[in-house]
Amino acid sequence: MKNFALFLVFVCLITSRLYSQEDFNFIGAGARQAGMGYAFIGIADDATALSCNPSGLSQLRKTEISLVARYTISKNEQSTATGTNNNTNKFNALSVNFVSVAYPVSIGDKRLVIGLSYQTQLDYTNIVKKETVFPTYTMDYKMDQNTRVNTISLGGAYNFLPWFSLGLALNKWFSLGGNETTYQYNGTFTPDNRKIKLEDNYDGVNFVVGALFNIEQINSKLPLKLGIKFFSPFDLKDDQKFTLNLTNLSIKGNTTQNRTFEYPSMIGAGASYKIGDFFTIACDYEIRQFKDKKQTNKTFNHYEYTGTSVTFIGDTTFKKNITQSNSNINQFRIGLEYILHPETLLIPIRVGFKTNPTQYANMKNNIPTDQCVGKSFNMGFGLVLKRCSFDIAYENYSYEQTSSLGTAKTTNKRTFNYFNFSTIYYFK
Amino acid sequence: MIQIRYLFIQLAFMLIGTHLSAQSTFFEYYEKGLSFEQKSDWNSAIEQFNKALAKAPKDENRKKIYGVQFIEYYPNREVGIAYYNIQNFNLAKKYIELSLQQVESKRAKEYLDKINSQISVSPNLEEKSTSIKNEPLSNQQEKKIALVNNKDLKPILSITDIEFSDKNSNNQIDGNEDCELSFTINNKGEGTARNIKILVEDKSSVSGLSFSSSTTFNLIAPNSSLSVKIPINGTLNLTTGTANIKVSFEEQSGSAPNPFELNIETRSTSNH
Repeated sequence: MKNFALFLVFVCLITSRLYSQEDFNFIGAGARQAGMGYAFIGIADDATALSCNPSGLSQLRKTEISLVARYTISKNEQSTATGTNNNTNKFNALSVNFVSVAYPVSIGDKRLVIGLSYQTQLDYTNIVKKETVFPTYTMDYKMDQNTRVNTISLGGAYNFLPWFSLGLALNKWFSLGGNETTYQYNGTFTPDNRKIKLEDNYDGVNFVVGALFNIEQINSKLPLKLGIKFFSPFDLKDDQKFTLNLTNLSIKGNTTQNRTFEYPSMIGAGASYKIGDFFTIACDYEIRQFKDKKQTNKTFNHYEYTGTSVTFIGDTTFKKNITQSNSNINQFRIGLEYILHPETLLIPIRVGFKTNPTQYANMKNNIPTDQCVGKSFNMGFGLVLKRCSFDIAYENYSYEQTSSLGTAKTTNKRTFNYFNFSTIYYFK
Repeated sequence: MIQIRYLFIQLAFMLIGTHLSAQSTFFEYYEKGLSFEQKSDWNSAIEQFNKALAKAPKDENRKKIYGVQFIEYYPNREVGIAYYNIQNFNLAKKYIELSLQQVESKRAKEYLDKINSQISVSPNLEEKSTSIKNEPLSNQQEKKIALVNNKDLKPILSITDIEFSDKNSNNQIDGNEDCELSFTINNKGEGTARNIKILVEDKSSVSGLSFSSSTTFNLIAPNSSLSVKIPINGTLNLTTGTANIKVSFEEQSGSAPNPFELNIETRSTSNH
């Protein structure tokens, strides 16, 4: 029975990741960035700079603290050509996405700005509820997943020249939250009700180097800024612990799995151009070299279900490409900001667009064909007061994945509506 | 191919060479100017405001510094106020009028009124320097900054408007009387006069005179002038005679104006 229990752990492990919200498009944070489609490498001029181009911090003259919250409305629609097995899953979630403080220090005529931030980099938040009808009973399936992989970053930027700054951020990766799945059966001759808990423990360290060239300081008639950033490659490790509880029989079992994700170097470049003091256009391109990068799963005390019995396998190692299509995750971002400036107020309005390549591929007869690439449309506005600013941004992100097996075709459409709320407080 | 590589290297060195010592941003200059202004270091304030003007020549009630951070930016007004405080009313008026043309402000209006009242009291203060209204602002100001910063160009200094004034208007220094020697230093050259030292001495045998023997001014821009007022006081111990006041000058580039002397009668309090 215990073996069977452990087998179920792994069945659930697989199903629990089916709809998880993994997005390897590591981007910045904050509603100002979100409103501009996160095209911010060439701007990076507020307390959120640490999240996209740390060198941009050098532009700050005052101590700033920022707080970003994100409300997610997720919808997953699965449809088949025949119309059978169509289903829709929805969930909403609110989280604190980013917190930072930036502190400028004068060193002679030069400026060093030190920053500390917390950011959610990967958000696995997902809630799935499903009822399945069997001949003699029904099964209520519920998965509540709230793992978030975060970074604490300590960084700084120094303006070596009025037109040139360098920045560095050290990232410590860790996770919060976990996953709980319950199977509740109602009827006669049912399997045993069960609850599975998963604890994630992510760990890793890497750094980001950024540079900012303010061309306007060289030629006042060319209000252009250019930014570049380099995200160092590293291994993100996840030690997972599973606990199964067969509630009616009071049987418990647990096992562990170590996962390692090879995260590649990521190189981004961005430009921003000012037209007057109130209009800015910006675009970024970022190359994330995920091609040939692997995810390795090492499980301990692994059991497999052979159809009629459970067999002890022992420790196993399993490797796969991080992206189903084994391709890079390269992203283009563009955004505009116009600041309305009536007599006593400053009201920025923003629009943006970005491509959203995913780690998923369209499948034909279980073989990946091409990368699923989604897109995001963004917009936002803000209010700037003397000591603080408030921003709100809306992002609509969607992608579609198709799988065909013979003549059968399934389409999976995921849509995320994000609402970002930011505030930045400026000290004297 | 090698030539192209050399060209890039040359360009890189040019870029670094030109801008390695590059200065601050417009608002850093402006903030420094305001800071000097608060300390009443008017000449240093003028220098900083002029540098700010060279980078961003227009007064604006909202000027972007970075992000969504804006400041009130009035370099023309503030440089005008600094000129007012060193009693260069002509330049003060021109800059403040320019500021008012660009954006109205209460502070600029107040100072324009003050300047006009000063000019109406002493019409000879309305002087002679080049108009900055008739040329496009940025060109004019760029030229001006270039001139201020070009240390190869020499100033040409001369003294005009030498006047002695005393409280009871008897044209002599009486015991226990506050008097004033005023004159104008004009710079008609293309270079900026720097570290102008004014040395005052009494070569006579009269005793009981009180005055500052040395005063230094940081700079006088080309085509500008500096009004100088030197208090000379007769003390209670002043003796009767003729004071022989000599005023001489030193200037950093050796372009000091010629010295001048004044003979002023003095009268002891016991003769009253």
